[in-house]
Amino acid sequence: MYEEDAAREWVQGTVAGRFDDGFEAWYGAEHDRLIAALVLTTGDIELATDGVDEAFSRALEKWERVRLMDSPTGWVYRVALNRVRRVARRRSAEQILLRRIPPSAPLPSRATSLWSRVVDLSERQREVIVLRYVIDLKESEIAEALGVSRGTVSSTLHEARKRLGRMLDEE
Amino acid sequence: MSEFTRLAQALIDEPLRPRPTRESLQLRSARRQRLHQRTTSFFVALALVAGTTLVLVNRASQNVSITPPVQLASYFVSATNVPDFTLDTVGLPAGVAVPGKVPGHAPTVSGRFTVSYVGARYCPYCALQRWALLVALSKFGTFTHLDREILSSSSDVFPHLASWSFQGARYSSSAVRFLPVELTSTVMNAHGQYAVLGRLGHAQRHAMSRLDPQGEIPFVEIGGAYYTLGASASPAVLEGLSVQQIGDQLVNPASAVALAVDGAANYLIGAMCQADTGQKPNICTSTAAIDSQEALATGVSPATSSGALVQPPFSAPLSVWKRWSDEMHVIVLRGAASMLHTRDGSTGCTITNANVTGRVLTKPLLGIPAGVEIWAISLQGVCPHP
Repeated sequence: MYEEDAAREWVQGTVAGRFDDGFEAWYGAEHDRLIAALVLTTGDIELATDGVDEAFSRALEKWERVRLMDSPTGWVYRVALNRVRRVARRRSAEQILLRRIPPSAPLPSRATSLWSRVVDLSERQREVIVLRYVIDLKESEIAEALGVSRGTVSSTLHEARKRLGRMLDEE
Repeated sequence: MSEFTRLAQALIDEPLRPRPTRESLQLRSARRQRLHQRTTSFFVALALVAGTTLVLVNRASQNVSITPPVQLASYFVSATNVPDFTLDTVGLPAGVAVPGKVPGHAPTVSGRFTVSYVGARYCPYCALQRWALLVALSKFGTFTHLDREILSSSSDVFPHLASWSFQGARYSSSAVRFLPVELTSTVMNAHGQYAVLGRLGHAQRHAMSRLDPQGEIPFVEIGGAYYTLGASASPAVLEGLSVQQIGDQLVNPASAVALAVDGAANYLIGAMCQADTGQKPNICTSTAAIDSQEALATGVSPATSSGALVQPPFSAPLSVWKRWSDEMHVIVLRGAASMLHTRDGSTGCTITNANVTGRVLTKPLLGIPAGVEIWAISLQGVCPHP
């Protein structure tokens, strides 16, 4: 009976946020990495920040499900990127409607040099490179996050490495 | 480690942006859920009303010549022509604040009266209030030169809300003198302050010092008798929408935008209808305008006093959903009865028949589980021939 009560209290406590459910540690470890990843994918720090914050809020909301995924970080990246694309499409439509281009915030200088090197890659190549070398996912996890086959990930990585050349020579 | 990984690691070690707290993430979730709930609430029951309304409006637009003011951007045409029965259908929903009475002033003023608006371009709350004012004031006069579309600040709560600046707009009315001021822009100067655009007039400064000593904006004063501080409803309903989409949703009484903006406009209209200006516009005889005048007198929203109908969570027991469905049925029946034999001022269409039909869901729809009966109104009407 005691164990049953304790289990119930733990479950209720977890729901009420009184116990550590593992979210804080994971969030603390992955947030800055995902911001860097989205900035290097999109080149826009405002969009990246909004996308990542939105994705983490959704992860927290569905944490009991997200924590059981093979790669919660890959899932957050996917959700954040979808959000970025939606907002970007909306902005683009507004640019046409409003006939003006809202200024986007400049990238911090320390991100500019890295962005300038990946900007010429295709969007898919940038995604794969960022997921592999910034978020540190395995090829199988990248395939799941992007919804493509592992073979596609391998070949895209190969092409991207070739284009980045010297930067990845030591790999 | 490759050069690429080293440079990327530097971005992680020295974060590009601070990490929001867990509470901030929860607030963001709550805001998203509220927005979602608002959008789905009332949608099912009123979907056909909206559809029929649009059909009637379309039919009317084929038969009746409506010439929008040429200076007005196309997406504002719908906002300045929200049909009277759309405003009646929206009524005075929960979540919309009742304007306050100016202490020491009789609620009725005589002659041409002033409506004063004080806001700023960066301010997201002002975006919602501008839309409500546009809908309300358009029932008493005509706007032109509303062509300075703006987005609220990107760094404020509810970023990038679409509306326009009242600066440069012209408003002509035999009953109302409109005095709008946009205090600042959306652009910050080197000192981190928004650039100054406009200044308060003497009367506005006096009214604000008395009614709004904290300088909260938007501030709206109507005829020296009623005033609003802040947005009358949550600006969250405008999030992610373009001016075109907002304009479109204003005529759809089932939309979250209409509930917030048209609901707020109904109170402003009620306050303006109380002024003794001789011949009042047709809108002052509408159900929403009459109801709002009663609410203005008591200061209590009918939605608050009667208890707003809130959609239960999806996992609620079927008995709870059954109660919700029964209450929704009553609301829909009342809505249908109030529409019967009414004539819309802008289209001229008269509703001759209003039927309420129920359907038991066989699969979940819009957050409502299977087994729940939902209700819809179908309308038939007669529109004038050219």
